[in-house]
Amino acid sequence: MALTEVRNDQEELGEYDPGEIYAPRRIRSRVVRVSTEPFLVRFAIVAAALAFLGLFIVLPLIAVFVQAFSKGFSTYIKALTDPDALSAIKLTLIVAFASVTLNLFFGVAAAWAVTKFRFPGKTLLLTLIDLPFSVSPVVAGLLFVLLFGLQGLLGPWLAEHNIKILFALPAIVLATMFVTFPFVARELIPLMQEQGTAEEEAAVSLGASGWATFLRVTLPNIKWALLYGILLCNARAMGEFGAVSVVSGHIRGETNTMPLHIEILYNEYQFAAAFAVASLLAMLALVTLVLKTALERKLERKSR
Amino acid sequence: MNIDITSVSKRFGTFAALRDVSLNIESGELLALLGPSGSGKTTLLRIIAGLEFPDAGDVHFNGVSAAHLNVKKRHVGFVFQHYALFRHMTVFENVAFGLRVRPRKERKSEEEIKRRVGRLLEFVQINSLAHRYPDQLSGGQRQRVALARALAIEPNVLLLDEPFGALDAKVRKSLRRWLKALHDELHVTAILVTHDQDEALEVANRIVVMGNGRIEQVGTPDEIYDEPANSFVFDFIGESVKLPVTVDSGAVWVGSRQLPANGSLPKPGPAHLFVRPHDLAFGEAATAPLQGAVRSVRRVGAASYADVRLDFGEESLFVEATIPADNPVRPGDRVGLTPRRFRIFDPAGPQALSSI
Repeated sequence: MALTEVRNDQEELGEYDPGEIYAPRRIRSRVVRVSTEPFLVRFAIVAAALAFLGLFIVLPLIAVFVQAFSKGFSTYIKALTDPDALSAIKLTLIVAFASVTLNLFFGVAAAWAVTKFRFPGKTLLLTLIDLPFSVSPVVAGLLFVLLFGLQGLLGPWLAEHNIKILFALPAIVLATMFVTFPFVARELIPLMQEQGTAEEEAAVSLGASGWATFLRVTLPNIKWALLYGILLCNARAMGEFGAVSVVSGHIRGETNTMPLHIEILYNEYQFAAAFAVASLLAMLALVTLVLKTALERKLERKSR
Repeated sequence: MNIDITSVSKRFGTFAALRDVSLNIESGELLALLGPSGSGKTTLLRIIAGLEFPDAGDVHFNGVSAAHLNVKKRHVGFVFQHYALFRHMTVFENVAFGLRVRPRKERKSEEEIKRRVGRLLEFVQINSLAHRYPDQLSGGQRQRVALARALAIEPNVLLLDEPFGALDAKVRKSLRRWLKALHDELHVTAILVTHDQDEALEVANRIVVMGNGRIEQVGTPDEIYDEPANSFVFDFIGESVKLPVTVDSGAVWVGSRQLPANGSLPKPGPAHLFVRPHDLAFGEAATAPLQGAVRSVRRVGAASYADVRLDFGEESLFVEATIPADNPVRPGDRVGLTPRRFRIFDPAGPQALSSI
């Protein structure tokens, strides 16, 4: 809906305080107008901030692309179409898709449980959701080695039944899932807490089943926050190195994801190829950033 | 629909929200559950709706136990305190929700749904707002949408949780009358929860006064106001003045003066006298049972009130009395006060919340 339309509606109603909606805009314009510091001070602060960002973020990003194309465009394409590189890209996409899908499911379930029900152990669950944020990814990877490795808890049983988890796709997905689990849940919990349970209760009292209530009432209310969570989850899933590095086994063309592939190329002094693959990940970061900004705008407008 | 509540108790952790509450609700009546916050009125309403389940006791709908029925099966129209409108749906879709989520074989055609929602919106007088979103509506308009949405499923009973709590005084007043008229037209059994006595007295056919998880009195608005069953009800409903008195040898004593006893008296000993400010008559200080000096005079709307400091030995006791139009008093005047109608309650009875 166009912004001007909204404003007209509110003016007709008369009772609505337009300041509520336009507050962000008003604040923004005030920042420009109300500034008591002399020009030089302002200039110095802004310049310092920009220089810092340029030096530590923009410059390295440019360097990645410059290095990627340093041996020419054909080398760049060759590095990306190399069978090992293609398999790494494919694996990364599969892992990201699988872990994001599963985390979408578990994240929504966890947020739903925490915010819509009263049950013992709720605080514990909230703490557990945050655990992956505070555990080093390498430790997370080792956890799975301890579980599924040959010397591990379930290893012998798995080997007996010829089920391969460690150094194969399942372990990579599991490790990625573990590391990215909080993104969806963390994004949803504050929003769902704020929205409360009244709308769900209303839906059920009108005869809606639990599933219909979720699809028609809860999901539309959380969809932008959910997308935002998925986006962050996906970015992290594609870029995850530590946990995946421990469980993947680094089998070329089989269990190497893009970050692992980049590391191998770099260690073999194939700088142009390493940076070519890295440039793909960097582009993913840029796309994520743009989408994230767009979604944030949308969220800001929704949750006024 | 007739609703029978038998010995319902409910605890939240260590807090007893309802203690052994029994109540019968007649078909077609508009009943108000009135009480201060924490009295259990909302809990009782949510138990009737099936949004909460009692720890003990049962709820019968037309004689059938509803213990195993959740809110989805009970077919109640619940109007939530803050309306709980679906924020991402238009007014039309909000009202149509209950019709759209029916099982496929019971669902009406799109045409029929459109017709019925249109009729409901007309009924609650907001048909011009059908395509607005809830955040584009005023409080009173939201209230109407919430009511239309609850009525759409043709509920057995309409349950309203503080329906006018979030509205400003003027809108509240007009909506009250409108709700009463609407109930007279529909004759659906309706239960309203409120902490506002004016609301309950004006709208309801019958009032249930609740305090501390118990029912203190059930009666018509007149019965509740004129014949409060105990000191809690007297104190909670309307303005009241509370005085320490002594009951002795069949009479009521204020200090050394005797009051003409009316009605039954509690056992001899200290007791509390409750009287409405407008039932205190001004008279000569020498003969009236209560004497004091006027401290200040206030005007509230049509009536004027005097704050009178009573002569009660050491302690200062203030009462508020309505000043009759033909007998103006000024600050500083010595006056006598005679309670025309009053009630004496045992101080050991249910405690009133405000004891000023």
